[in-house]
Amino acid sequence: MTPRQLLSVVAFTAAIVIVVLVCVDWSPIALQDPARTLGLNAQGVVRWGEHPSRAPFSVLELALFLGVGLAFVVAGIWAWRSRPTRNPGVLLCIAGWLWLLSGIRRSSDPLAFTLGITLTLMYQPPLLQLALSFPSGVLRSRADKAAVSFFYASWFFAPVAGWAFFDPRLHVVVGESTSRNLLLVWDSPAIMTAVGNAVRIFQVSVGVAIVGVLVSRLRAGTKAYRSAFLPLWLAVIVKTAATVWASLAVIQLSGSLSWEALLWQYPATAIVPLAVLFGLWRYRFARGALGDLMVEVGSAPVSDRLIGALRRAVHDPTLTLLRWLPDEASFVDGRGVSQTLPDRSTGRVSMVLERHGTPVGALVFDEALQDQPQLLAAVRSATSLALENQQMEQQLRDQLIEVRRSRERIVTAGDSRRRQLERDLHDGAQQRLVAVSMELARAQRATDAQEIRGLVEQARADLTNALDELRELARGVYPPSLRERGLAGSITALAERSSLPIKLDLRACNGLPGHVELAAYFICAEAVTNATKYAKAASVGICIYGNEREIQMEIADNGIGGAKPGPDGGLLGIADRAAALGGTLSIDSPQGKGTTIRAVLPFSTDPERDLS
Amino acid sequence: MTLRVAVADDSALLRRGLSALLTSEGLEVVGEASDGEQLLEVIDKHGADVAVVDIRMPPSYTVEGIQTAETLKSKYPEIGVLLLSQYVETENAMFLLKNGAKGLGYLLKERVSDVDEFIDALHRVSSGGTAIDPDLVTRLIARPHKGHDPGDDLTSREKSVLELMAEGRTNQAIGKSLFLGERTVEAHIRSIFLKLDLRPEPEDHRRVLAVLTYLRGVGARREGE
Repeated sequence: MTPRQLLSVVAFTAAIVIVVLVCVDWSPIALQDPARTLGLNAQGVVRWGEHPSRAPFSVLELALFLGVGLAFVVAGIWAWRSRPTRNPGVLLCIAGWLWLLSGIRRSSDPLAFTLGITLTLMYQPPLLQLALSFPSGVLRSRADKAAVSFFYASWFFAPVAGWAFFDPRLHVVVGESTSRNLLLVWDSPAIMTAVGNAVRIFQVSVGVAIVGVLVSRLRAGTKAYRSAFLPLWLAVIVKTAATVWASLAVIQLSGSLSWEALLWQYPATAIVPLAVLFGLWRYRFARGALGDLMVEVGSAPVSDRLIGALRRAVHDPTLTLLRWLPDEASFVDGRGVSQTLPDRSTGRVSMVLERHGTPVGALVFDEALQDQPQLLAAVRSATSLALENQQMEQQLRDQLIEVRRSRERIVTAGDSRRRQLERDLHDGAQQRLVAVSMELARAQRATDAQEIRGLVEQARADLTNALDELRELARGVYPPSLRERGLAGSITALAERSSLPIKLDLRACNGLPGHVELAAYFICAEAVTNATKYAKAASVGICIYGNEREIQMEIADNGIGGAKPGPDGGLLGIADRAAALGGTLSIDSPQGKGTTIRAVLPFSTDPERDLS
Repeated sequence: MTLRVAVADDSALLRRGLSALLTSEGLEVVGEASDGEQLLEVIDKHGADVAVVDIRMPPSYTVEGIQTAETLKSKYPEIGVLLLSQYVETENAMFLLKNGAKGLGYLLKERVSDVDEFIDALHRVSSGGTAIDPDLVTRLIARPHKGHDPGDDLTSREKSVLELMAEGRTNQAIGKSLFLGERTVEAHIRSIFLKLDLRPEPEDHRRVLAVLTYLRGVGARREGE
């Protein structure tokens, strides 16, 4: 509600009150005139006029009357302000204005009097509309809309029909009436009574029908609906009871008692806006619970506790939280069962929670809650926060697990490399050297010169082999050319030793940090090994380029593809090596289409990178 | 008498080299095997006086040689088994000798190039003696230790005798290598056993075990201090 709207409503209400105050005729004859008694229809006026001891209009009654009207308007303003859809507030204000305006019935001016008697019960249709459209204030079905139009029309025509055949001046038994009824066609108590009875039967039927509709809605509705509607519902019952009592009282009871019954009408009516205020208080209470919700969200992961808090906050025990699974592109409930979002006809609505434009979850709740976007906005942000927390926690866990795994793999890979190295030495160079020493021993003890030459020759050959093996092993431990000739030199050497033709495009290979050079070399070596041993490739291309912060490398072969970083494969080892330096490594190896390994290795390994 | 030898090593290079060496030294190589099972088959078929067994063989390349020695010993107690290894470890030696040191040997592979010593070890093992690699013995004796050790009371001559005893040499061989008379060697040995508080053992292979156990025990005590 804008301040301007508020000002207009207040000004308009004040104007009506002033008009009513100006219209009230305080002359003794007017004060005791039963035709001007607030709230009575033509039949009521006849009955009331028969009471010898009826009390005259008083300042108290005027105050009560204005109080009820103002209560409607105040409640309307409150509803208007605190609800985003202004409809319920507007309806309450209209009811209040119509109520207040019917006060001009106390005027001696025939036009004002006539207008007043016509408007006497006109405050009721807006309330019926509110009841049928509760709590959103928007009539949903065509039947509802038709019914409400019908209420306005019939509530207008019923008094017109009654007063058309009733001249109050002719039918006051005790005292006298000076009220001129402009609606009068001709005076006919019989017709007036018939019309009155018909209207009463009609209105009772309508009342019963509305009660029936509301009861069925109440039963079918969710707890949220019931919770929101209950105060108004109780108020309607009280008000109806008071109306019935008043009608009976006017007819049956003695003057003073019936006067009391008439006065009780006011608080009974005032209960209606009070009930709305109470409903609003319940919403405020719900918003208060949102504070608790935020606290709970702050301390708890997405759990039953969060959902419990959400349900309490919005008074909807059927509220459910669905999580979005991006892999399956569907929402799942708490048990992991896939769920579709409800459409409008089910009476339930969904609110998709998004983060950076992608869904993270959805809330499904009773559509009655849509009436409170502020509450829903708070629930949305609280839930999004919780989901985000959960997601971040999950990401953190995943990353931690991956770091632990890769750390373990790096250590394991180091261990198995040592084991392999020991075995290579044991089975290779060491054996050869033992063999050499045996051959030399035999040569030493041999006498035949030919045999000696043969043994020494054999020993020399074995020594050469042993040296070759040692050299290869040493290269595997650390490529010596890396230290001597840098990355470009050692990769060139790698290419020269390889049995495959390797095309090199090496740029930005100078002045790299040692750890980057070593990682880049091993990535190339592993990729070449993979291409040679497993991929059955015919050629390999190695491309390295970079800038002052990092190098990018791409090693592509034209082999069979289908390479996967297995748990004990070298590919996972180089991926771990890249990750340990804060870099990335991807393996693109579609079946039958060759393998391309791409890696980015930053020069500075800042462990805090990407974490802030 | 020609010593009949079976050779087991998973390296064909060493197997052939060893066979050639032994043959040229006038020993008879009854067969070659690349693992323990093959060795048993060879011996089942041809018999042998001694088997030269690589300690690390298929399938797991750990200490299959020791298991093969056990199997062989339980089946043919009279056949000597000489284990060869790139490394000698006390733990392996004690495991090998746990049921007695009779007819067992454990030497570094490169000992084969000291042909006379190697052939001597083969003869010793085949005749129920023991051959423990000098490296292992030296390592046990030279281990640094804190506090007093009964071994500290040994004279340097006695220490030399102890080493040779631990290698599995006979009194005669000890005397020969230290240029001592056999009686002098026996006197030294008695003195050593007295100083180390060991029960004198008449047989050489029991003596080896007692001495090795003592040396290890001293080591264990030292480490435990």
